[in-house]
Amino acid sequence: MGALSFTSPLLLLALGALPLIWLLLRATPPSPKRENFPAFIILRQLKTAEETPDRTPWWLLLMRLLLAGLIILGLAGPVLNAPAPGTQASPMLLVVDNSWAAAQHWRTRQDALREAAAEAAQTDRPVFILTTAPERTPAPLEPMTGEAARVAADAMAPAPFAADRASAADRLAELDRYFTSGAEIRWLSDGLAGEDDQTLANALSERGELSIYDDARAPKYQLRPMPAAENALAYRVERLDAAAQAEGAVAATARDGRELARAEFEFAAGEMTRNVTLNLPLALANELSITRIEGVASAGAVRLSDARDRRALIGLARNTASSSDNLLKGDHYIREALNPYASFLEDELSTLLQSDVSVVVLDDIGRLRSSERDDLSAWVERGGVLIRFAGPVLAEAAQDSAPDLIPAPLRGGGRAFGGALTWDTPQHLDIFPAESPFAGLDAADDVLIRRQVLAEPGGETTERTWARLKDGTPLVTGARQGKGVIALFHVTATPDWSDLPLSGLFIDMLRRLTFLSALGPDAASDGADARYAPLRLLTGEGRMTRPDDAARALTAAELALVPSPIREPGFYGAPEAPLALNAVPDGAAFEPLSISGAAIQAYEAAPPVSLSPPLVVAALLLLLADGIIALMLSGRLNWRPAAAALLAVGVMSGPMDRASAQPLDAPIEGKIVDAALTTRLAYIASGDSATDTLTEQGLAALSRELYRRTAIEPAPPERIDPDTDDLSVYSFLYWPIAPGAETPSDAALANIENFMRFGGLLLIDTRDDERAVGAGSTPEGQALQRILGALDIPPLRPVDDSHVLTRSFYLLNSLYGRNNNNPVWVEADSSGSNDGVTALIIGGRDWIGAWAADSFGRPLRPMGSGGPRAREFAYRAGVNMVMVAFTGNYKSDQVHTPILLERLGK
Amino acid sequence: MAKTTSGKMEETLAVRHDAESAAALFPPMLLEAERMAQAVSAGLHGRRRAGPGETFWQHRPYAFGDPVSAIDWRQSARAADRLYVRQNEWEAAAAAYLWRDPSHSLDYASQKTLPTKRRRADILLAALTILLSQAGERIGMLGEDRRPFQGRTAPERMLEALHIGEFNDATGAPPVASVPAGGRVVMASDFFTAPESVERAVAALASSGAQGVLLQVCDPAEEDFPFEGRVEFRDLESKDRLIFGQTASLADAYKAKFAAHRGALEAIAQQSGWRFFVHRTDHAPQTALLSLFTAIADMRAWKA
Repeated sequence: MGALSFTSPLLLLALGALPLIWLLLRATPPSPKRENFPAFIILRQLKTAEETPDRTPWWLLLMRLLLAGLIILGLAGPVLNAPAPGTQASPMLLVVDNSWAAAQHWRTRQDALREAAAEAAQTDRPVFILTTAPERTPAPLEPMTGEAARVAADAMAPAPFAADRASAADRLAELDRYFTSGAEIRWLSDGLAGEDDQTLANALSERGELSIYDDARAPKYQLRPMPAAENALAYRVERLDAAAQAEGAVAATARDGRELARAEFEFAAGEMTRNVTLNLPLALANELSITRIEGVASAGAVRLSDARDRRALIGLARNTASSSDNLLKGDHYIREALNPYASFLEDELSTLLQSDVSVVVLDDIGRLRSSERDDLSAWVERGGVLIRFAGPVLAEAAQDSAPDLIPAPLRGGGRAFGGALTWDTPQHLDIFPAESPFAGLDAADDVLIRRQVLAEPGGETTERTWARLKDGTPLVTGARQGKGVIALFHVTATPDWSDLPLSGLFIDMLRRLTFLSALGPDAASDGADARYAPLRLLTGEGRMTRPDDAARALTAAELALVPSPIREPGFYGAPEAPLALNAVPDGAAFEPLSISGAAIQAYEAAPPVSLSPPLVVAALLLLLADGIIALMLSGRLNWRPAAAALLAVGVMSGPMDRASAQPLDAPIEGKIVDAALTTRLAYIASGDSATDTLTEQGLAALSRELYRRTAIEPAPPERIDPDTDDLSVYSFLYWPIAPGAETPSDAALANIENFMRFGGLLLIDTRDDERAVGAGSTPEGQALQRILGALDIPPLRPVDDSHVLTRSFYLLNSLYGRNNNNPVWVEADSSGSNDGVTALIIGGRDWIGAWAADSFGRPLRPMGSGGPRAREFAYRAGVNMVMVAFTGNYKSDQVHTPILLERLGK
Repeated sequence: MAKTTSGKMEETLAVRHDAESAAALFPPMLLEAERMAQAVSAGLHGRRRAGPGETFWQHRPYAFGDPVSAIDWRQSARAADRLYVRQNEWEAAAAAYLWRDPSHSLDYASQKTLPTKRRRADILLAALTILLSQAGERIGMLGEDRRPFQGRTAPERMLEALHIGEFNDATGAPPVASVPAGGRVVMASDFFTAPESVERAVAALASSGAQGVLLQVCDPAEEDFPFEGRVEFRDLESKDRLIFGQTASLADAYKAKFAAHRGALEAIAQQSGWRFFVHRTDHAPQTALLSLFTAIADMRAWKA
């Protein structure tokens, strides 16, 4: 550990040459400054004595020696923590604890494995790898080469089980035929104490030289559930080593992966355990699926929660005759029994039924109002569980008339045992009938029933008896009604009549009943033989994976056992209500490994570090510095220019970086700039040049009229290609559809959709009004249908005379074009967005034909009917449409003008 | 055949290229020299006596013996019965011979802000040429056979004759030459040669009746010796090297030697009645030009 070695140590002999270098360097003075000088004739007269060579300054000498030394050291290849070359020839046995505890620092184990494999490969020793985690079918122990061992080490993954060291010790016998002359044995332990640690250690020591690796100092955590407190989930985080302070967090996630809650914890130094509570509302707590310690990759740091951990909401109907003393209230005993598993709501019955309770408890309530009865009955039909307890009130009620919502008819009055006037002794419980929900529960001997209400004997009663006394009288009767269940305890919920409320059996019975509810959390109630298919399995690293084909379906009983290769931990059963098998059983010990009689060493964490590169870099830097110093000493490097150069380099690097940063936005095209700076109408090319020319002329004429009549002063119209042009700078687009027009590309359609979505007004004109008798009756109409099929358009409606389009500038009855036969369609509800501008106007009225004029203002196309007056209306319609495109619903209040005037008149 | 033609062509081209690059130096140098000459000539006057010359000096009444062609008829017509003779100012054109040390020794400037000694010397001589040619004097090159030139183009021709771009370390010492009697000589150099060679040259010239000026152009570093520490000095001409360990402590000794050398030069000049000027490249060249010009003019006046 931390050892320094050299790859080519012979080179270090060159360090002996350093004194020689010292002498050489001392003899060579630094070169002098050089100066040209014309007055040489005078200098010659000055030259009196021979110049003695200057001495190299001692610090420069030292620096150069250091430089030479660094180069020699760097070339010699120093390596920190280099693996020691193996000297042994005996086989190597690697015992690996690939348990869930090892998963937390699996990498160190893999490193140790690889290192061992590399050592073995160097000396051609056979390697055996023995894993201690139980496996379904253990692979036979066979010698491997070092290379094969490395591959095996790479492929090895921690299993979600605890190490089974006893069977590992048993398997060692297989190796005896290989270990004739001893072996080197490395036990890469997980650091966790197990049952047969010493057995395995002894068995290993017998067969060879054993060294045990342990990462005792590495933090190792385990998560354990705690009994639930009131409305809070509690966990305990445990750790193996308490030396250091540590902190972390526990996170709870739902079945769909949502994080439900997160609680941070902090270990003070010396603290071994820490309790963590997650405060969750009941609804969220019931969704809890996985709780894990964040950042700890181990199956032991993961806790799977299933439906059995969910808590029901139990409604306690408020009792009119409730006592002030807790111990005399039935509620109290029910609460005490179910507290860890359920939450409670105490309210009026009608209120309870409106909340999301899954179980309603009626403690000694005899009569129900008819409305309450109906509601309760309907609720039970839906799947609720109604648990009733008998008592004086119910017995009284049963005497008068048969109470409602009772599984079996009751006889009036009651039955008391062991009283002064009775000859019966208090009765014990009989074993539970097989068809009863309580089947399998242990009928406790210590429960005595002293008093009860009696059911009318009969076939139905016998059938509905879920628990009975030794003498055969029913103690609990129950009946399914719809999806729900009604159960009646023939005793009180207080210990007045029986010992039942004080026994542990009471808890189990109540829990079983709550599981019957179809409203609350699901429970495994499929019977003992039902098998649950694996849903998600837990890996050793604490991840959930899909089960492979070999994973078995398990019964509920098996799910309660300790996990093993045939019972892999994970979720089983239906996805909505899975059952969980945790990797670490509740009572498992969590203590550090201690083996007597064997040395335990830590995993080597430090990988080999080559020191050559930093040494050589340092030498190069020194060389550079030496060059600069030599230049300065000989006067060829001025301080100021050098500093200026350095400064220049520093300054240059700044602007260069900035210069390399290109602007993110692409340059804007000139056409777009023009369109953005001046308002203009635009049209989408139809593909037919005659149409396009006419469109251009029509829009130009409309632009002139707009200029003349309104505040809009548009520039000449622009022809655009929706494929390439940015439409966001236009407000009004005219799209004439030519016969057989092709559907634009997806990009173009998306562009047009965006145009409409962000407030543009698209006017689609099929120009077929005079011919059209219905949708798609003309080639243009068919082309339009095809295009609209690909375009995402809002719902449409015909424009009527109250639409803002008919009010925005001129008051019109319709959007007049060349022909006015068929309706014009606009967005049905444009009130929501974009200031009420309809995104779309679709018509066939050939507006451009009506508007089109030559440069002298002479119309190019005749109007369908009406002459110049009709053309004027067409212009007015155009002005209105453009006005709407630019001003939105600004004039829509004009629509209401008649009403407003009418009101004012009043 | 074609090869030789092209070879010749290339040679011609190369010569022409060299000539052009050398001539490219002329305009700025001329400009500088002219500016300097103007600053100096503003303070100068003519010879203030009538004689052969080009500028008007005075009218005087006709005297017997004056050639008829000398009568200024226009002036005479203004007076009633007098004839006037126009006299020009006397401008005796005499030749001045210039020499500038062509060796590498002058190609030195200790700081980038200073001109080299050679450039300063060239500009001084060119400016002097301008002034002299304005005065109608002829200017020749010392030690060269070509005829002295005069007139407007004299400065250009002067610069051309100085071979601005060329160095010749062989003739670093002043040439031992003779000039026609009455000639005046300006020798510009740093005179970092043995004083004996300077003395020989001056003596030879003086013996042929020439008057002259020695202009020592020095760089400030050569006078002040501002070096420190260990320095290797290199001669510009011989490329010899000398290494001194403690240059700063040598400065006083150097200055003493330098002063002795200059004193020797001064003594040489005085022996022959010549003048000795010192010009440092970090001083204004106008003062040097003025003193040069007045010295030469005085010699002429004295001679006349």
